[in-house]
Amino acid sequence: MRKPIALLAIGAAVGALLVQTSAPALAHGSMVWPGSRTYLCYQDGRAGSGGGDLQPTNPACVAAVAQGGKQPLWDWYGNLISNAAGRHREIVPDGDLCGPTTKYDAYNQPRADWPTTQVTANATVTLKYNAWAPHPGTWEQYVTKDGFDVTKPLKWSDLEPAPFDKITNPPLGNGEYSWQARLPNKSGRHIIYSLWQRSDSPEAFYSCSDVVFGGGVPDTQPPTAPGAPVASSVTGSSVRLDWPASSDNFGVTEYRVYRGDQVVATTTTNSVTVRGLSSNTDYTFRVVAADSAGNASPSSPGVTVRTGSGTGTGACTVTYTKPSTWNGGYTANVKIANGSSEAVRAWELVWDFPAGQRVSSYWSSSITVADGKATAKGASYNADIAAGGTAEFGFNAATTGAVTDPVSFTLNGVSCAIP
Amino acid sequence: MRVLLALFVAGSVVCAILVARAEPAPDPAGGVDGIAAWLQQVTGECTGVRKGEDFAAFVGPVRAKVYGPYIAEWGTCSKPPYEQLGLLVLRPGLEEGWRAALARGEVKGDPDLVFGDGFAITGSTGMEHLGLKRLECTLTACALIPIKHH
Repeated sequence: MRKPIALLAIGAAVGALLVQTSAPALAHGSMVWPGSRTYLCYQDGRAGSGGGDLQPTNPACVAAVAQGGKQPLWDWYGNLISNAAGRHREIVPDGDLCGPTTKYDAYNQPRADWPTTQVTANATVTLKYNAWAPHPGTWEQYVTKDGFDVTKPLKWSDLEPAPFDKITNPPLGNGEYSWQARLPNKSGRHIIYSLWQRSDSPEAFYSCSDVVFGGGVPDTQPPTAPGAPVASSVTGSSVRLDWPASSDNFGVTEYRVYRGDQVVATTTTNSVTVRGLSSNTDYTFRVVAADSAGNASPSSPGVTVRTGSGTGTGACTVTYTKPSTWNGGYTANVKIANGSSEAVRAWELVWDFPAGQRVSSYWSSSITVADGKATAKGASYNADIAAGGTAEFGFNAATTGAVTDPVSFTLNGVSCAIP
Repeated sequence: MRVLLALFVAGSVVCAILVARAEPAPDPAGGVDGIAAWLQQVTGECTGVRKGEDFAAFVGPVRAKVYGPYIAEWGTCSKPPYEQLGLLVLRPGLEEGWRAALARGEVKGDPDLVFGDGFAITGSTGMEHLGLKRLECTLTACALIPIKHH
């Protein structure tokens, strides 16, 4: 009996082996030294959230998340085109080199404040590239030409014509490829552009690593925490905050004023006036300092201030439309227009939401329903509405009977007009 | 000998049946929980299911605008290498919505999802094991393409 059982097991094993050999090896990766934009923003987001979420503090990373959401950072290793087949210059247009697909488009933003890695010109270094599994292919590393301006869209012609480093099937260990390369003779701010073209598939990966060539040591030291803010000049819609300055080994470049987890103001000095507040409302603010390397300080202590009884957010208009309805549900789009001369910060829109319906999904906001009222709050990228500006969001609702459209809305406690 | 050969063949068939379970089979009526349960069944992974969070915060406003109207329910789970893998229960029309967005210049290329029957997943790596498909789109048409085994 032992022999038949053994053969049964061998048969199963052979079957499994046949299946295994036809399955693809998993290939995903990105440059981790010098770190790519998605990798360093992911790390920044992890640090900013204290773990479990992504809350980047680097301004470029914040802007990238506002544009593209958090998913490209959760998937920081997936900046790829599945059918590239070496046609990079043909299928990736100028301006899209760092994020050639819609998902990663936010990482094309031409700005100077991406996280950088300090490197030394002409040094022999170990390049590191994350990989989830071994896969054959060739990596080419390019550097931008002298005079490159990071605040302009990256074009193919911005790259030196030949890669300063090229390697096929580099060694793999501990989940990453690593190999020695000699860095080019450059100085100052540049981008190292890495292309990984797999040889067993048309799939290719793209990454931009922002680097500063020089002889110095990387700045990893954050500024000290700002002192406790002091509130003054309190009105019904604004408050002035002053705080003792931070210090930093290379200098503080920015202060960010937070209300909760949202940045409500930024400034290069240790004073700012926060506007767009609601009257007769308690607000708590805190301040974080940052340096040019993207290091963020610990938070200052918070200060709580109650606004006066003056006028609040001013005129607002809410346009509510239902572009799609079906048996048992509907889609609603909502547009808030801020007609006042002041920005509305951290907006919250409230309207009646009677029983017989529930919000099943939403976008460009977060919506909660309680006690017959729905409350929508802006997402990270549209939490504030500029003076004269608008914010739009939408949601899907499931219904169990006839529902009527809302007849009134309040924005941060102030009634809005309905056209 | 015939018996032994039959046992050998039977072993291979058993394995093939086990592998065949990895077809896209979740019932969209089961919602996000149904997709998660199916992933857990066929891969042993997909834990920490979360629902009801802001979809636009996950994918950004551009893709939220395009995908949002066609999503009946969405959530995430952790399935290595994805710390946050999106699980989407779909309503019909996403193809047309994507092509319209292509025509408006709001998006480029193909949707960054893999598709089963009535649902989609945001990941890419390893999804070919699950029998899921990519959607390749032009301005005039979209086609579901099996993900190639390399």
